[in-house]
Amino acid sequence: MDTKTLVLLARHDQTEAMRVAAGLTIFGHTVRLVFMGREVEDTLENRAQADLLELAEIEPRSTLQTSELPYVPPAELCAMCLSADAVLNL
Amino acid sequence: MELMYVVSSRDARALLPPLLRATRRRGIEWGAFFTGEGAAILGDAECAALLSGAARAVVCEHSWQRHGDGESCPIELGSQTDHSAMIARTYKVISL
Repeated sequence: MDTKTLVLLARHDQTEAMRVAAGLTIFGHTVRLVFMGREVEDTLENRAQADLLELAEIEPRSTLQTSELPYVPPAELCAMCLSADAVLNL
Repeated sequence: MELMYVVSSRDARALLPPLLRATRRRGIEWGAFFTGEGAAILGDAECAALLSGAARAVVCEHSWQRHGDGESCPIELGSQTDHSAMIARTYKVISL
């Protein structure tokens, strides 16, 4: 067993991305979650998954400068992906 | 495992079979985890048949209930816990 550093790019299904990100921490992986291209939709499902992220100690970020989430600039995102053991795309 | 496919998109329906055939030809140990809309791909008979060569192939039960075709599942039903465990045991991960 080997814990990894994972970058999870939330592009299509935000709810699923949050669920998967939280689940991945179960075996001790470090998970970085980045929402890409649009604001996180304010739905009941997303709020529930956001609570899970908090429990899993994942601090999501966003590629949108206007987001309420901390902004991740392109160069930093690139570095994050390069240093990760795996990049997942949801 | 040497290689693991994480399938979360319906678009992988066209990509996955040739990749799995190539992986099998290399004779390496590989696995697959299906989640989200990727679970819908398991309705494809060709994909399901190719997965018989996996060291382990698992679909998130929640995703299968949501995106599966209602038929019996062709591979092992699991959870995000299995996903996390499989990644811990895998050298390379490919996300589709």
